[in-house]
Amino acid sequence: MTIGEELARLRSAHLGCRTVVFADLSTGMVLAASSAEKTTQEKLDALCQEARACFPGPGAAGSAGTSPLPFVPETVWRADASGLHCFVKAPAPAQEALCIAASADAALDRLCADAGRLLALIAAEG
Amino acid sequence: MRSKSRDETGRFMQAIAAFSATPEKVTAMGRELTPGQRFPMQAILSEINETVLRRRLVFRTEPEGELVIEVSERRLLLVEAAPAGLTAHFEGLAGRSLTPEDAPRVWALFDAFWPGNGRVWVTSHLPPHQAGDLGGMPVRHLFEVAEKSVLPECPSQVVSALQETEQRAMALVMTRDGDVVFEQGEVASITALKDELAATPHEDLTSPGVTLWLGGPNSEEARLRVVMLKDQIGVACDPAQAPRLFNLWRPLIGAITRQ
Repeated sequence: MTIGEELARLRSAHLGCRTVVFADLSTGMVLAASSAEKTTQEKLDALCQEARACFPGPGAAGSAGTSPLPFVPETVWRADASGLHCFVKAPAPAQEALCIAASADAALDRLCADAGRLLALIAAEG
Repeated sequence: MRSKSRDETGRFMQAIAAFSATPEKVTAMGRELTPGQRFPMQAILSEINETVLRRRLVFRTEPEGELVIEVSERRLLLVEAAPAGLTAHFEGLAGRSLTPEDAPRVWALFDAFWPGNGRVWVTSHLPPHQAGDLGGMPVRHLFEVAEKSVLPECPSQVVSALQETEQRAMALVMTRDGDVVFEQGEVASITALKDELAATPHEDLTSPGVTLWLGGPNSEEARLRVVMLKDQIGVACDPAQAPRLFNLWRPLIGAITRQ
């Protein structure tokens, strides 16, 4: 199964999951994506940039090693005017992450758990 | 709700701290109170909360103010006397059995007696008479009034969310225009939260939002950040509580951004 197909399967398995992006946070590049609705590259890039700003923590703006957090974040949930988003990052030193846009009825805990498993699977497949 | 294990750990740490604390000095004025960490009056409420047997507590300020109350089983039974300058606050409360409905007025009297500046001493005495059951007001009603009075001015929905967050979090720090206006919880976590809030770039604070950072499976802490116009709230919490707190704030952020 291709990464695109894996992303589509994750998205369709969860109510309220609208877009899933597989991204490289070190470069800010979108590597693959699946969306339930027609979207634009700009929106996918914006989701990726938001993920970069969220890791490794508040104030760090993506600059690894300077996080004031007492732990290395693995998952970030964020809600603002642009919607409800969650980001799941592969364990260091990997820099890949899944960036997800969801609607308010999504169960983020289950969605993020499955996203973490998918990331591990993608990493294992190399 | 705060977990039982956390409460027990907190009590244990308080007991350990008490062993190493500097002995309290007792003078002719009585034992001097240390203003509460959250609000000065916390010290007076704690005296009531820690008094199980029936006692008359006399609080003194310099030069000659005296507030005399009678307490039993963590309840405030009577306000017997108050300084002459507080007649307006004291009227209607003097010498009668108190009920929970009196909590706001009693709080106002206490607050006027000790607004936080100056020193206060306390002495404990056996009451001159052992009347029958006088009812009285459980001290928790005064704590509830106090909580509302120390929270910053916010819409009622935000105050409710703050109160629930406070109950479920290890620590909470709220800033307004960069200044700390409210803090609660474990000291080390408060210090860390202040550093994190101060480290946030200004551009990250321009739009309302709520963000939750969760660590790996073995992480013992999560961080929640709420940004609402001039206010920022940083929360340290148990990961098990984090989704509930995120979902508590999310609708409020939605309401703010729709305004």
